[in-house]
Amino acid sequence: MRKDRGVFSYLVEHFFRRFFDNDTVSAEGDTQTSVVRAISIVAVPGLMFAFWLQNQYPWRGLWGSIEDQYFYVMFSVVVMGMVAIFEWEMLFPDRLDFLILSPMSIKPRQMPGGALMFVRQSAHRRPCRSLP
Amino acid sequence: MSLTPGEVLGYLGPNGSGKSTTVKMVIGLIKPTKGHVLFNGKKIYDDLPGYRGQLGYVPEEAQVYTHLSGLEYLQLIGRLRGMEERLIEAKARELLKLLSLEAAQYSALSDYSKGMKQRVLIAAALLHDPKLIVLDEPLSGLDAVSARLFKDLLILLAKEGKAILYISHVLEVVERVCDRVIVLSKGNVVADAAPRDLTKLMELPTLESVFAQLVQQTDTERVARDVVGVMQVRHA
Repeated sequence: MRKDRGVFSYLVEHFFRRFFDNDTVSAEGDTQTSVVRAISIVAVPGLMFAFWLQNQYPWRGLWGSIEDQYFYVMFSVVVMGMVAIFEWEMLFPDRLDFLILSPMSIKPRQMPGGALMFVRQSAHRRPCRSLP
Repeated sequence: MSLTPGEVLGYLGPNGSGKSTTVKMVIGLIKPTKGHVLFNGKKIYDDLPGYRGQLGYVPEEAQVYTHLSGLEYLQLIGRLRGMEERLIEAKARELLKLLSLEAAQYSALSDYSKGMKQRVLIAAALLHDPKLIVLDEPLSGLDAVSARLFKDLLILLAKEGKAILYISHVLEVVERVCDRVIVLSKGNVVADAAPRDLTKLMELPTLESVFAQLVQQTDTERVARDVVGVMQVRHA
């Protein structure tokens, strides 16, 4: 049995689930599998590149290490770009959210606030206190 | 218009007469340009979350989060309504069982039929034991057994003291379950009385015929004949 939490906390969790349980990311609708799969897809190229570079350090030259750093910055930007293209609308409440959540006992600012909190927590790599 | 506890109020009108707009005002989705919506004598916008905590709403369209299962959907709704976890668990499972959704409670709502989704929405609207229940075409997609169960449920809920606003085009159901009906035409109330008083007053056999006369519907038989005539045209 779950512990009782505040409505806002459930809203943030709901937006987190909705982000990963949609047609773009997941066909099956299993949140944990989707999260692991999405993180794996994003992380594997970076890990492989790091593995390939491990024999070149600490002897790699200054410009070489700067190149590597720029690669990771570029890779992060590409990933963020892909998220923006495919998942942008999932970051914010949409028509369905308003239709379903508006008649609930939620304060007017809590719905957009919950979505923003999810975005903020995602940016700080703390998706949620507990996965659903 | 007013609605008292224990009363089932039918809200009728042709397409575009303002039924859905009224519903949106009653549930606080849009603000009226004139007048106020009062609940227990207080304006609903004075404490909208508090008011919505006592409101159960079944929308016309079966809009649900299709990635959730029936049980998960009810759990989400219960949590967002601030209910205790134990209570949500007990009530959600029991309601799904009573509405013949027990076998499908762990299936994603994307796999549900329209009628099954509608039953989940009915369960979601009743989960927190609301005082005011707004039903916008609730029988849409329900099979005959579920529809009959729902009609009996409405009568029982009214006996329990719930105030029910019932919007439907199925006039024989309205006639059976509603204590009073309001008929709208072009945004104006053209009748506000008990169904049997209306039929008696207008000396017509059914609510359907009363409705047709009140909203001045065209001769439907003639229009149907004209449509078939247009369909059969072969040369311009």
